[in-house]
Amino acid sequence: MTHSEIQQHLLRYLDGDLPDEKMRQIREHLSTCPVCAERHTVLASLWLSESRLEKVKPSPFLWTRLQARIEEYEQTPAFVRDLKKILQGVLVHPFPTLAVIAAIVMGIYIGTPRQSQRHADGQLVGQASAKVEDLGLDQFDVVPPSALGRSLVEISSIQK
Amino acid sequence: MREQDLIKRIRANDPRAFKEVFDSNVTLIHNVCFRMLGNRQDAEDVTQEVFLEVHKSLKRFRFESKLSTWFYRIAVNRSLNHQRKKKLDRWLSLDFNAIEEGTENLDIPGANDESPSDLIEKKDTERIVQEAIGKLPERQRTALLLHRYEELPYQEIASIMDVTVASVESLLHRAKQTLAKELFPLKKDL
Ligand SMILES: [Zn+2]
Repeated sequence: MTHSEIQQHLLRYLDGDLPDEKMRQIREHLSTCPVCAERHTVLASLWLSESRLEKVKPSPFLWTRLQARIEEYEQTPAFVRDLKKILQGVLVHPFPTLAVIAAIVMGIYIGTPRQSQRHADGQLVGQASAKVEDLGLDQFDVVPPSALGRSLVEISSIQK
Repeated sequence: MREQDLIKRIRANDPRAFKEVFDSNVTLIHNVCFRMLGNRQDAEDVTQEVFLEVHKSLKRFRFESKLSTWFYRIAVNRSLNHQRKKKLDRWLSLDFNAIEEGTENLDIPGANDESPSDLIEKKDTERIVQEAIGKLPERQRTALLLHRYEELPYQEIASIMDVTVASVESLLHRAKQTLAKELFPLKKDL
């Protein structure tokens, strides 16, 4: 193992969290290399002396404050709570939310026909309904099946 | 068995049952939040949020995991959300120094009843370690905190984080490698 590999593994070595063979190699290296040995001493003074099992006591008023919040929660109408939740979601995940809003706006923009397209569509619909009236297609039930087929061909020819 | 009795009593609207759940888990939850967030005020706020969520959902708890695993999961997620929100607030207020450091109000556990020189030494040690851990990527940090300070087995950490045991091992290895690199210059600079 190189010096840098040894140094990289020092915390795992201190925790005894390496395979036996690696533990042995590092132990031997440390006994002969002053640079890595110094690093080992410094890291051990930090990593092993930190009082990691000390628990932090919560405030004795936590229960009283929690009760107040539970009461407040239960008195808030459900729709207000839902609204709050959505707003919080937007705050915590702003970028996905912005992406969804952008996608919706783009969708509406792409899906809305332009002025000229609307005009052309309007004209087409006007012509088609005039033809329908000419052919008496608005009284659909009196048109015999063969006439209906012919009329449809005529209507579709308007679009060309 | 005791957990199941408690839930049964909560489902039957026994008001003392939730207090029992609170009393037997508050230190655990508060500690996880404290380790994740680094200061007491934030830890207390998030601990309240965790219990509020527990209160809302406990009746629906289905014993697919241990109760404590479920508590840990809520505490970890709430703490991460709280931290993300704080980071975003700092971005919005353009406080870039705080964004970089992210450890502005670091409290040190148990730093109350010691002689001044011991205290300075202890505070330095703890602060260096906590600051370095605070800079780890979220998932590495979560795995390391649950392992180092809560002493949870890999299997339970995997269940809390919803990943495989192999992922937990890999997260821990990477966290320790990064820390081995980061801690040395910090201590040398003292
Ligand atoms: Zn060496």
